[in-house]
Amino acid sequence: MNRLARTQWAPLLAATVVAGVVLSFTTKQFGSSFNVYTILQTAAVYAVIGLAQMMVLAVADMSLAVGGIASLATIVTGNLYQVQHWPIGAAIGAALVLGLGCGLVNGVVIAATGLSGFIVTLATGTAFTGVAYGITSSIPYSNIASVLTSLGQGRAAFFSYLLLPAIAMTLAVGAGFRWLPTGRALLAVGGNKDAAVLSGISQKRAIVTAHAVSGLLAAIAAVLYIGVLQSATPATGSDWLIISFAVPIIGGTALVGGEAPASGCFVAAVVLAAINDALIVLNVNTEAVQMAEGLLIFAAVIAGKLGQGIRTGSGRSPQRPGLGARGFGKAAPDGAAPGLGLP
Amino acid sequence: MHERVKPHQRGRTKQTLAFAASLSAAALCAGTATSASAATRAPARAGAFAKMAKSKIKIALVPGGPNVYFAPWAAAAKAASKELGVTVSYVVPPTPTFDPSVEISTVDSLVAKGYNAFAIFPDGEASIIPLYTRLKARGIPVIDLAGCTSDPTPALFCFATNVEASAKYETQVLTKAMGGKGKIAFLTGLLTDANTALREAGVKQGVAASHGKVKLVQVVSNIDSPSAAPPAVESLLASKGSQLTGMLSTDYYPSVAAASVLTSNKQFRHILFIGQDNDPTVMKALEKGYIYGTMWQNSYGQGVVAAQWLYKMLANGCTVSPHAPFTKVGQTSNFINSGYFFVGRQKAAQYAHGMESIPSATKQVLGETNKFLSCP
Repeated sequence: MNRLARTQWAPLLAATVVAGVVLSFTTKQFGSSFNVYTILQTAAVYAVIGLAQMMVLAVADMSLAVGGIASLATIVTGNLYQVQHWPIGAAIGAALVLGLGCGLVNGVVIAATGLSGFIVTLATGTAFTGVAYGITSSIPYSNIASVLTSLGQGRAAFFSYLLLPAIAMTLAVGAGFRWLPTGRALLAVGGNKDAAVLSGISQKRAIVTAHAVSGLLAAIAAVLYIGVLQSATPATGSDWLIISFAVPIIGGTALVGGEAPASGCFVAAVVLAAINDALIVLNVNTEAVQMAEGLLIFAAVIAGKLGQGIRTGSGRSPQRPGLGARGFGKAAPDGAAPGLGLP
Repeated sequence: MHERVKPHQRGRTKQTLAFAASLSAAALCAGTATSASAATRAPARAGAFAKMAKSKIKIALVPGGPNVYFAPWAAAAKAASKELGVTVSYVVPPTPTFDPSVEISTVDSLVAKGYNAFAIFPDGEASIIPLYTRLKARGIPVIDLAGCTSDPTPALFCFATNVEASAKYETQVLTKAMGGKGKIAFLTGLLTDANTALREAGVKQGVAASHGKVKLVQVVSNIDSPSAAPPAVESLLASKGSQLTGMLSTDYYPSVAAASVLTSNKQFRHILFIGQDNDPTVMKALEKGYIYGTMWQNSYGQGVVAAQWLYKMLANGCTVSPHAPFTKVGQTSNFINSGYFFVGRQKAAQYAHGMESIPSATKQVLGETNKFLSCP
């Protein structure tokens, strides 16, 4: 409980829960089963999109290709199922392999050339989107397998079935960062690449791994979205850029790398989905919706930062878990490079 | 799950912020520049164009970007090319976000490749004007297709769906289906699209015609994307679903999302919904009776008429007639309606698998060619 309170997203979650409870009393529809389902359905997809970006932010890089990979994965799923008549499982599998491959290409190009991820993924993301539009001539695939529509639209009371894969992904990514040597290596490279390299971690391998997993997560998000829209359109991913950054940043992911809280990503996704929903439920003037969203995101980030400042000021600096135990040196209490004596 | 190895590298954060700030400043400057050039643009004129041999005529139909709405233009270009015996190409600017600068560079490239007549969906009604002015200066005819630039404009005329009239008609059809009374909600597109304001005006006119018996209880705009539409529609239904009698959309993705939600959630099927265009999800929902209808536009006909008339200008030396019976709409007084059409449940099966087209409207406009063009 104490640890939960120390997280950057705790104030944000608390404010959202309080606002949600108040809204439920003032606007009875907000707390209705269908509305909660709506929020959770949206949050599930937002969370996976956010995780895709968080993977590369963890190594102090970024990907502008999350949407492009999603577009291509969507079209491959639709095409293989509707046109090539593959079983849906095989079509989804191929799309996920493709997403992994696209991410791998990004990572290899960045690692091999030393170019900025911004530049490389800007180029490849555009290319992936272009291929998706080229395959379809902009016309979506509409013959969607019932298993996908059941997943995208299915629910038990307020519980959207999409939460199952979203929670699974969140737990997997969180566990990977916490317990897998590869995950810890990514955070080490993101936190201080010089220190990581000196301790024997391959920076290039970390970048390639981060982008590959990011591509896989983008493809998973795309497959989930097919079920939501009941259509496989190349336009999928076209407006994911802001979501992909907003979710991890609000959730406490550091833009400079080294910090990647998967659970924060999930909470931020719920918060963003709840904000979007509340603005419509409250019938906020449509011209003001975007402005309100921007201000709320800004307020959420400031609240998180203030909470972090208060926690630091109280002298309860959060523990940097694990690296020492894994042989990279003991975590320093002030957050400096662990155990390597570097500035 | 909350991991941290080493925070800071604050210098890099500052660099990132500085870079973002400079990008924003550049975008602001660019926006100011395009607004300034738009303010000084020349008035529209219907000049004559040099007659040329068939072999030299190259016509381009340029949509705003890759979008399913424009897909029938490809078939229209192919058909027109075969019929006229000249090059008619459907060239899509590679910009899913309908970026005017990408569209401008695409058209410039086509001019360099010898294209000498254009029908263009204008991305940004002001920022495209300098391009039009350059085309006009080179003696190249340009038509606004499926969307209009505002007067004064170098475009010869605008051939598009009369979105305001279409939205008003859609509202009136819905009102009639509701028995003349009830509460409705309106789903629409991007705030940056000038057509959104016209569509909303049309809906409000339709509502006003009910003399207070129909109430527009909520407008949800800026949701014409695959990510934005589904949660917005679901949130609307969660909050207002029980009190709504009707719902209408004038844009593609809100229609798909609404059809999808109504297909999966029978508790909202008391709401009569009229959508837009012919996405298979919409047409399936219509066939099954989950939605009331959808509005079709004449996308294919737009491509056919534009190609035919541009051809006449270059091959026969036709000009826009000074007495052409143009309609005046919000953006321009040189407007021709390409047509719109309500497809209800009874006709769903007939239209379910066809291309979005209204042959009768195309035939009518082509039949009036002599009224709009003066040919020697």
